[in-house]
Amino acid sequence: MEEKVMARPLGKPNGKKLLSDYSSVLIVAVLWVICFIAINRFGKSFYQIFREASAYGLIAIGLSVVMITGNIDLSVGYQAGVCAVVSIMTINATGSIPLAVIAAIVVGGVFGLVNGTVVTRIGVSPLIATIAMNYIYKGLSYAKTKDGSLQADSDYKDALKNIYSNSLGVKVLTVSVIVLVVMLVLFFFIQKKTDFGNSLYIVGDNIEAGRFAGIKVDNVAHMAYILCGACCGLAGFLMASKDGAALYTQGDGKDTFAISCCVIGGVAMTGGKGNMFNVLMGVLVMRTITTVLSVKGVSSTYTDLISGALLIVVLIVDSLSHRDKK
Amino acid sequence: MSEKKNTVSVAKDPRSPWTKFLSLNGSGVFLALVVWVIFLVIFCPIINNVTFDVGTNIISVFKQQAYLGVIAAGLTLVMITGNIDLSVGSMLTLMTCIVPDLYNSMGFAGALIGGLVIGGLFGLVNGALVAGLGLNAFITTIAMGCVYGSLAIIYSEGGYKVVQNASSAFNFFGKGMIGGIIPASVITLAIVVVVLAFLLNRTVFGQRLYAIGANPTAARFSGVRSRRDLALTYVITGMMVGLSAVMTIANVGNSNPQAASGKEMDIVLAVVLGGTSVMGGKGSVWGTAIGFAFIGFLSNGFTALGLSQYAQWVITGIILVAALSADVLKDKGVKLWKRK
Repeated sequence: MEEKVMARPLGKPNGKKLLSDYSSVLIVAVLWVICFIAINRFGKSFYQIFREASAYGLIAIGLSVVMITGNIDLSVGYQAGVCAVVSIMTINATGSIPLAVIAAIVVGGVFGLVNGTVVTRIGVSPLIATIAMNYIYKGLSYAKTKDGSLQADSDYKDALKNIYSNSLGVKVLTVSVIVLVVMLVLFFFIQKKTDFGNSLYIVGDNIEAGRFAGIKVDNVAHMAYILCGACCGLAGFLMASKDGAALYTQGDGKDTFAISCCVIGGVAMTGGKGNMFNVLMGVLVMRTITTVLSVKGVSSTYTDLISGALLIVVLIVDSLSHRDKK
Repeated sequence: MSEKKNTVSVAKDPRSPWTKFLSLNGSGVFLALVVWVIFLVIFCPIINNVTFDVGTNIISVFKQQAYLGVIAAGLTLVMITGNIDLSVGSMLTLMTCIVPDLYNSMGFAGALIGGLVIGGLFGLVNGALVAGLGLNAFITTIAMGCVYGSLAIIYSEGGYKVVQNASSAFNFFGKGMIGGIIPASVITLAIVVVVLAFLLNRTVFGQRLYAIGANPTAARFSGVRSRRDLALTYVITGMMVGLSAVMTIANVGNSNPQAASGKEMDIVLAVVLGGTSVMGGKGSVWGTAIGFAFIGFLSNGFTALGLSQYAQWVITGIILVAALSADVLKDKGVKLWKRK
């Protein structure tokens, strides 16, 4: 039997380490307390945070897997955008929602496969390669929506919308939120309990060491892209189900948003660091801010300003806290 | 023994001229550019029933895109140090909102100097965050891009800032043609390229940038004040954005808070296509000029071929991925499925 390679240091958790590992929980908690105190009837719009988090969260989950291996994918937004178009087209053609989900995931996976090929097999810088790929996905998603939207047939529209907004008993609990939770648990399990999950961290941490340890580093990095694409596919389906249509702007800006979620959630840009739980916290932070601002009627202009400024603050705090350790 | 004989004689380069050419920055893209132009000349009459006049198109590409080339030239310095500035697109938007006000209150000279100074200050903010605090350049400048983009909309209140009573000099700076052939903006671009290329290749500062990009730690141990130099590259890029904004406003006459969003991608691609390594330590301003011409000719050619915007995006993407892959494979020797 081969020994399992342990990527993360062993040892008893201590308070200080826990605090630094899960500081994003603290951010979310403080943010929510402030919101509940400062904003009237915040509880009424509280559920929106989770509903809206589902599609965004899936993209962030996928991206975080790629980022842990030390790569990046800047085309996630439009990958999801194309998959939204694909799922609407599938529904209109076949009338089957499960088929639409599968089609979206498969197409997303293929996108990931292509991105991964360019980055891990050919060796183009991930940043530049995915910017270039983004043009392709953008063109594909605009080609079908034509500066407007691609509507689902009226027979299926309500069924689609139910997935996104019909709550099961509790207001927070919609099918889309359940999908997000299931995916989170699944990826948490993959990262913590499987050899593949471990090798993700090793590839991000020290690719040479991984290679010498007998890990097929290119395969691992490639697989990360495929998983990311599949997540974007699922996210695309959820985005389509929100309005029962694929909108042409749907892919726009989602990549920046997802990167922000990951960075706030403690995923290192250099790779090898980050976990699903914190990524979820990052998503919640970003969604809370966006939701609060839209509830308060602040224009989306300020949302960009505030999320940009917040990201800078998080980066500064992060770098200062690391400087103390030296 | 005369002095001359004691000097070390440089061994004659044994490589053929062709191999030497291929090893130059941006040579691959230059070839692709030539092939693309020949393709357009042959196929435009067949596909779209228009003749592709190379001369006119060279002028129109450079005239329309010169303002992006100026920024790309500045960004080359940042990218040679192994960093990146993805906020240039939004910064340009913000600057184009500020420049009309500068012009209306202070005239042409005031707008030019003010643009350079304010752009330089924005660059300094980026430089302080990336070089001073040591934040990740990529994510920091994306965040700053969000900030600049919203500031642009807030500053212009979502509307247009219009230049009043543009002087003839200002108009000439933006859209004048020297001798009826060469656009004034191209002259500005040429001056910027020459100055920055001089700075990069003929000064100690430029050599330090290559050193920082190739190995930051080694550079620091050799006494390079890498933080100061890095911050300076961001300031230069910011100044180029300011200059670019003046060129844009002089050409168009009003600001548009949506105009330059996403342009940073085109600019970064122009720099990378020109042979500047994203990892740093390698690249040239001349290469960037070629990469920039390639991107300009791509969209120009697509319009001549009569393609829709969507098809343009898709084909641009495919060509870019192919060009980037070819560039990597050229250095590596073609062993597609075995990386090391």
